[in-house]
Amino acid sequence: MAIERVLPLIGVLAFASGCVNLQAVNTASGQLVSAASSWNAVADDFEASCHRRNQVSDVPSDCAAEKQSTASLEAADKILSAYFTALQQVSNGSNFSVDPGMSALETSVQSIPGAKADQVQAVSAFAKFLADAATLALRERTLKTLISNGVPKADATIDVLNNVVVHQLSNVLDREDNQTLTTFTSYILQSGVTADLRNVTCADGPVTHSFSTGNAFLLAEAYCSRMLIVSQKRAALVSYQSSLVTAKKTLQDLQDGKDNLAATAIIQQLVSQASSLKNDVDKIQKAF
Amino acid sequence: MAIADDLNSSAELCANAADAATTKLIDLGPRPADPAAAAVWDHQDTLLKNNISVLNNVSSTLSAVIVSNALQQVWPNLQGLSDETNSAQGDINAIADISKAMVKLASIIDFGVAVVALAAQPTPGSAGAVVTAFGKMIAS
Repeated sequence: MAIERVLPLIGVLAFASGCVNLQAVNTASGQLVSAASSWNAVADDFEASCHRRNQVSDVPSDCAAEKQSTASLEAADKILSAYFTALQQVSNGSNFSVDPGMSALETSVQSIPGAKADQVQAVSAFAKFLADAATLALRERTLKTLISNGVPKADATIDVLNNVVVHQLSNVLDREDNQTLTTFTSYILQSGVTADLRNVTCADGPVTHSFSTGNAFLLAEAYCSRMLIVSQKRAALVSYQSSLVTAKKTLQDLQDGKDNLAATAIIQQLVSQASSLKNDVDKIQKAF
Repeated sequence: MAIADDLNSSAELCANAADAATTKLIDLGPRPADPAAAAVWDHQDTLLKNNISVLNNVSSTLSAVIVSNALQQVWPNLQGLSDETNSAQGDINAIADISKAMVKLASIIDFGVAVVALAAQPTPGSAGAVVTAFGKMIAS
């Protein structure tokens, strides 16, 4: 009888526990996972650019330092990625569903001699409410700890990626650019004709009437095909930087809103940043 | 920070020198037809290309070293982040265990029901049911 009286209350409590929604955190952290994965492609280009430069260099480099920086960046990305994945996992309610256990429990309660259907339902609903509440409380606590202790550390790493990596990778691409210009200019000059490849608009492709010989035109075409690769990487570097800035903002919002991650304002910011991150990640993945 | 600044200045210095040398190479103009002048041209072309390659290699190496050093400095943060993630994984597993606890509770109830049934009607069948329920409870 007593349990029948509390049935409506159980229903209300179960509904209330289901209202706390970490979907926005899940969406944002999911995009952070994708972003960290795309950052790896950028990291790879320290070594890859060195190898491309070697293809047009009279004095090849051993690329050892570039290889080391790629490995260090990949290790950092791996740790960031694992952190973002943990944020994603803990904010995903379906990872912690008590439903499979609950159906077993309900079947068992039904088998209790003399148990009535409404009593079985009441007991099962109450047990589900307790399990859901415990799960949610633990998820929120874990998420809060992950954010409080992890965000400042992730932030410091992203600062290095933004303040140091972008500038230095830009220089590495500049060196590839210069080496390509040097080698192809030398080839054209060796053939006894003059041509300044700096004036060629590679995006549109070289035009034959700008070159006095067919060889010079073909060399300009080969030059441009290499330069287009570098310019794609350079454009993706802008998206990389933009994704780092958005990732930092996302982490900051999580930090600021960790006490109420289901608040509308936080949800809107996180969803907007997730969309912005997706845009940048798509561009990075296309180029690398 | 001072070392990073010095390395950065050196990388830029090498980059600027490479760019200047490339301008010089362009200014050499086409290779002359006269053999004596062509020999001088070849010598200058080779010298400039070697210098440019070395300058680009050094500048790129310095950029890579700057990145590795900067990451080395934040490595304690990354190590700490890794520890936080591992600790959270433990919590995540503990949360997932709640569903398993429900299954365990169900098996305990099944065992209790089987014991009650055996007490009310002691038959070989009900005794077997107790044994089966006990086995399931231990396994869950």
